[in-house]
Amino acid sequence: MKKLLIALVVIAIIASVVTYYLTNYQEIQEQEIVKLELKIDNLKAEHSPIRFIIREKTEDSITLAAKFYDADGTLIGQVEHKLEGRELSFDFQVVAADGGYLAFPYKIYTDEIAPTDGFDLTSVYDQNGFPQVFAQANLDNTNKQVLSELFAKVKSGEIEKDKNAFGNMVHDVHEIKSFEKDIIYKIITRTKGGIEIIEE
Amino acid sequence: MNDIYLILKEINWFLEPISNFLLFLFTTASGISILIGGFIAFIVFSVINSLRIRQLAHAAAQNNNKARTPFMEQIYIIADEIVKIFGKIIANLPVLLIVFILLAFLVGMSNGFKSMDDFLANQQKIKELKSVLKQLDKRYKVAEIKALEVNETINTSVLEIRYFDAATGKYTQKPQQIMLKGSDIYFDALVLNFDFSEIEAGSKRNIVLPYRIFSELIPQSEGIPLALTDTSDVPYIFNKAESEVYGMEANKYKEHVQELMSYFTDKEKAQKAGIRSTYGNAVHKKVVQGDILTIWVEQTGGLTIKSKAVF
Repeated sequence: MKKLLIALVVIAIIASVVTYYLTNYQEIQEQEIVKLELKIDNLKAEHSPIRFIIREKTEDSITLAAKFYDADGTLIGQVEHKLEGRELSFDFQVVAADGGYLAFPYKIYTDEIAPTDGFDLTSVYDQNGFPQVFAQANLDNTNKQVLSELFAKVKSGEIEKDKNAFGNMVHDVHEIKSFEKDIIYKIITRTKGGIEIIEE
Repeated sequence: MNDIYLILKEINWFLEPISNFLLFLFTTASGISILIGGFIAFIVFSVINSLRIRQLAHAAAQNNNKARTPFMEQIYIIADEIVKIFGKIIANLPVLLIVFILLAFLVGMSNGFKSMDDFLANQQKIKELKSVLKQLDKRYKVAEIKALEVNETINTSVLEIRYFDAATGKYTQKPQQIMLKGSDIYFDALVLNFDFSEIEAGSKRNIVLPYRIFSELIPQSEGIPLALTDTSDVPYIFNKAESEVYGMEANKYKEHVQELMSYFTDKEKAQKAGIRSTYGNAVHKKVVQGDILTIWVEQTGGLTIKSKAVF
């Protein structure tokens, strides 16, 4: 009986020590899970700065209306424009920043208009030099300053010299799949620099 | 190890409810109230029983059913019964101690199994999340553009394009040479992005069909078509992906390319195939002579272009 009791006490002590360390390690595990989930959420995160609709489409022209949104999803500006051509292109300047990429809406043009002659979009969301598409409630002044400086480089074309910046344009393909009239499309920018067009 | 764990888990199937009940009794206010209540009820019952027996003894002795136990005797019986109960408790203290140790052991074992279970479940979750992160973070090479010559006077660029043949894991031997006006080079392609669920599972990779190149000075309609296929008309980027992902024979590739093209036109079919979006995507960058650019398709969606570091 005495031996059994001692054995039980010893087992209980060992079990308690193991449980203690497992419980402590579980805290580390849980922290790692949170970190991994955050990283995954960050990769899947999407910012939709532009929604657009085709108002009119003929064999040689496209009339579109585009609405611009900030990072909180608030409408900040809109534009309606007619362009010659059959395929509509939205061009962005993508700039590396803080471990991810920022996509600045840059121009719209078509298959018949060379990019250099495209319609400038930066003025639509330029608020005293700050790119309003990145505005959000908790943005501090330092970040605002950095964004304004990057935006100035985008507008002046200086960003093209940046090794970590590139242009990213999305468009429809007339022969395969054209944007249809009265359907709302949204453009999604990803933290890894990719851009997508999705039908709403 | 896994078998032992499964046996322990089976044991915990009945240990856990007992452990939970014991923890409830000894660690919660309600449980402790129930225990104290039960103990008081036991004392009360024992006292009433003793009083009843003594009252029956008086009735028998006096041959009178209504005979009552004197008040002072009742007090004595109550005190005696309470002292007896506590005396029994003290006398059986070692046994009670063993019982408590056994109960604590049972609770500890059950908690230990549960901790082990949570630990292994967390390890499994971490493994799964790492796999998801790895899949989402992946990118695949599509092509490499080398700026052989950039003449700023007449504003023309001569480019050499090599496509990444996923079957060999190398760039194609025969590069395509292109000369065009301008120096901001647009690499245009059709893109099919799969749903995140497909990407996370690692079963699909986003598909790119490069089809033309143009510049800031040339509209897309005047763009130069890209030699994007190998001798069997199979897009270079496509090879390994198809053999790996769909397990197809080489001669079925072309058929499959046509199938993929139909996803652009048939929205329902694309949705059924787990495709999130289809569109044209051109990445571009201003080049200077000697620049080497690599075009990637990101598993989170879309194309990206990076300058290749030159030693």
